[in-house]
This record gives sequence, structure tokens and C-alpha cells, in this order.
Amino acid sequence: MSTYVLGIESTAHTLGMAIVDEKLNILSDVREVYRPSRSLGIDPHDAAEYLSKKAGYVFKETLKKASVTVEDIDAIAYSMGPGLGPCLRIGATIARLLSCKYNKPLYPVHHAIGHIELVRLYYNLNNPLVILVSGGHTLISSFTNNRWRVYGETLDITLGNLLDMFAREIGLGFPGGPKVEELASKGSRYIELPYTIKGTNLQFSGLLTNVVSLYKKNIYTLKDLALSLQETAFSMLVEASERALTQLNNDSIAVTGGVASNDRLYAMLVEMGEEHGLKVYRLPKRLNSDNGVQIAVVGLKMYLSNVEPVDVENAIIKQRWRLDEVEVVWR
Amino acid sequence: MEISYINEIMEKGRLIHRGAEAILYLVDFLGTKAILKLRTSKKYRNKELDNLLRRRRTAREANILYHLYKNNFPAPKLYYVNLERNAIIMEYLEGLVLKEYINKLENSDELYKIGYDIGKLVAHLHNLNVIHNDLATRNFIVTKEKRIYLIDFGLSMFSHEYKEKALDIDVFKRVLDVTHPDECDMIFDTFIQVYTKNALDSKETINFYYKLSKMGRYHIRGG
Repeated sequence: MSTYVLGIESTAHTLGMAIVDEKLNILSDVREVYRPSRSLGIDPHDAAEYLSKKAGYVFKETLKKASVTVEDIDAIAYSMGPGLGPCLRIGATIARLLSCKYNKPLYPVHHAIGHIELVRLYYNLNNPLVILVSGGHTLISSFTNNRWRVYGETLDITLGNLLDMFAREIGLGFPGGPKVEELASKGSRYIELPYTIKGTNLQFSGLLTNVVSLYKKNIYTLKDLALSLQETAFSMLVEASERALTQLNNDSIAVTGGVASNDRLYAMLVEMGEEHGLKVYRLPKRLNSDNGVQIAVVGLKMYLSNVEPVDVENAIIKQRWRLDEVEVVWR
Repeated sequence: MEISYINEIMEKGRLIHRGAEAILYLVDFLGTKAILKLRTSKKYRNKELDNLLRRRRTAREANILYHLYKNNFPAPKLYYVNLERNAIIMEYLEGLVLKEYINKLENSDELYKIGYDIGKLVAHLHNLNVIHNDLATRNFIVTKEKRIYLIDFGLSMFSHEYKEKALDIDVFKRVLDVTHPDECDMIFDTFIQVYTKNALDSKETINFYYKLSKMGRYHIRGG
């Protein structure tokens, strides 16, 4: 008999559902992504409305693609937080409904732990330094005493925000990361930008303000600005990661989250890793961005380790929820 | 001083630390035991950015070390700087790194003394308008006489802004949280009291620090 776990992700713009089995096979992975208009950022209520409209379709597709019926599912996991309240509420509502209706145990999952554990389990890593870079997070983490401790992070905006907001300012659409990457690959000249690092912590907002004001002065080409923005921001992140690494004893490096799909960032990390004799792991690009799989794999681990599921009335959301608050009892 | 001389003492010296941005050698500099800090090139970094960063940081670190020496601040004395080689030669301080010193402590009363001494030290530093930017416990050295010195000014800068000072304190607290979870409170509470008493503008700094720490560290805005 196989074990099937359904994972539901809805922390921001993605409603993702996936089914995994006990061998961590991904049986299905369905997503619908809300796209804000060109000039505006994500509107949480707009996004939530979009996600709720897609819920029925995503659920049916997830079952169909996995060739699994609702009755076959052993447990349901949902992203409890952190994220945008209205969006989180959609996922939590779907999870509660399915749990009640079909009488399935319910597991709340920390979204960032989903990202981290997915890459760890996918490559069966022992003690990686994990760099999580997305629109919601920019942090450097390592596992000690049952927790994913944060050894470095952004002190203001995230790396994903930086790239998206720059893309928006220069009139590229959402998501901005891939578009900035493409533009940067054509650049040739480095323009100096503020490089702010505090030990293993980073600040990106000064960098954003500066690059936007240079853009408005109209003296540099967009591709050179994009190149300089990427080189500066990524160097800061790689330096902070290397600083964290010299204090810890990790045996590998993993990079995950939407920005992990950037090939320039990955290449820089590989070069840094080589100096320390460490391999750098990253997931197939599709699994870097928010998805139901990351929630399902953590739910599966909790279910198989006999973690107590939550009652429906306790299946709440946590918009602000520190990664290191979570005690990992299922490993 | 020729670059060839720097290379010569480096080759004769002993590599004692390979950090994220620099390599430290224990060398004989004109007959004196000294530390040679070399900022090495990073392969992952864009060449122009790499050269710019290394030169700028070396120059700034040298300036700050000299400023601190003139003001009797407990930091390594600057002996020599070479911007072509991105090299700094400075005083060698014998002692234990604070991180190990704390881990070896048997008497927890000493934690208050550490908090007290560091509170005075950081207040003194900030009063000289220097922000360290990496107040980790591996960047303090405790000598045999139990005097605490601050080292590694590689990310440091001049600033009188209370916001920058608050960030310095925030980084210190974060490091204590993850590297010394059991000792953190005892050290930090005393640190804050002593810092408040000794630092200029400490009211603004501390208020801003509390604002920072309350803001939480999860940020989500857009994709």
C-alpha cells in the first residue's frame, strides 16, 4: 500500500497543489499563478480572489494527473505561513474543508521549510548550507539543534523584491527576475552601485533606490544597469554565504526559491563552493518557485513520523512566522 | 616598501586564517611579530567590482585602524598598508577569540563582565563615529589579562548615524542568538545597560534598535 499526501501552497501569488507518495515521487504538481498588472505589485485581495476561483480546477487536476482518488489520500498538508493573509486563508480554507469532508489528518507546514526540505530531500543532502532566495525570503540557513537556524538574512527587502521592483520601474512585466536576467546577460559594463553587507546580513533597499535613480538619469543602458544590479546584489549574497560558511561546518551548499533559477547567481555560487570543495545543489527550475510539492513532502515526513495532526479549529494561518521558531521533530 | 618584500614575508610567514574575503598570515615584519592581511581576488565576482571592493575596503580599514589607534581604542595597531597588493600589516594580538572564550567559561558570572566590557567598547567605538558592521563573537579577542580587543574592520565604515549604530547592535544580537543561545541574554542585557550609559545619542540608537528588532525579519512585498 502506498501513502499519498496532498500538499496545498498559497502564501502569495501561487495556488499550488501536489501529491507525493512515500518514496517522494511527485505524482502531480498543478499550479495557477496570479499575475499583477505591469505597473503594480501584487494586491493581496486581488490575488486571493484569483486563487479562490482556481481552487476547484487545481484540486481536480491534481487528483487526475496523479490518478488518485480523494479517498486514497492519507494526509493533507497546507502552508500555514508566512505570507500574505488573504492568500494564506484560501489555502487554509481548502485544507480545512477537505479534512472535514473526507476525514483526513491535517498538517500545517512552514512555507520556507518546504523550500528548504524539498531541495534537501531531493538530493538526499546531509548538512547543507541553504540559501533561500525568493520574493518572500532572502536568508542563509543551516540545521542545528532541531531547527533551521538563520545565519544571515536581508535586513530590508528581499532579493526577489529587488529584482521585481527594478523590473517594474523600467517597465518590464512580472515576474521581473527572468527578464532582468536576460537583459543583464547582454550587458558589458559594470557601473558602481551601493554594496551593503553587515557581517552575514544584507541590505538591498539602498541599491534599489540608487539603480532606479541612475535609470532615470538616462545616461546608462538598461542592460548595463541590469548587469550591475545583478553583479552587486549577487556578490553581496555570495559573500554573506561564504562568511556564514566559514563559521559552520556544512558539507554542501543548496540554493532554492524563485531567484535560485537565475543562472548567473548559480554560477557564482558554484565558483565560491569550489574554493571550499563543496558542491552546489539546485532543484530543476520548476521546483524553485512556489509549489504544492514543497508542502506535500514536509507533510509526508510529519505523517510518517507520527506527528500529531492539527484539529480543524487550530488549522489557522500565521502571516509572520520565523523559520527558526519551528522545531523540526520529524527528521 | 616593495611588493616583493610583502611577498617574501608572506612566504616565510604562517597562514593562520582563511576568511571569506581575506587571508591572514602571522609574519615577521621588520623584526616584529605581525599580522599580514591580504584581500584576495574572488573568482565569482565581476573583475571591476572585485578590484574596486578590495581596494576600497583595504583603504577604509587602514584609515579606521589608524583613527582607532589615535583614540586609544583597543584594536590592532596599523603598521603598514599597500593598496597595490591590497595588504595591511598590523599588530599581532595574542589571546582567545571571544567565541571560544565563552564556550570554555566555567563561571557564568563572567558573562556579565563580558557584556559590561563589550558595552563600553562598542559605545567607545560608536562615539568615535566608527561602525564595525560585523560584531560577531569571533571578532573579539580576549587577552591573558582579560582585556577585550575588537578585530576585523574589513566591513567597517565611518558614520555618526544612529540608525547605523542600531544596526551594529542588531547584528551583535543576532550573532549572540544563534552562536550562544544559552549565554545570549546575560551578555546582551548588561551590554545594553552599559552601552546606554556610555554612548552618545544612545537614546535614539537604542530606540531604533528596538524598533528594528520588533519589525520581525520576515518581509513579503510583491512576488
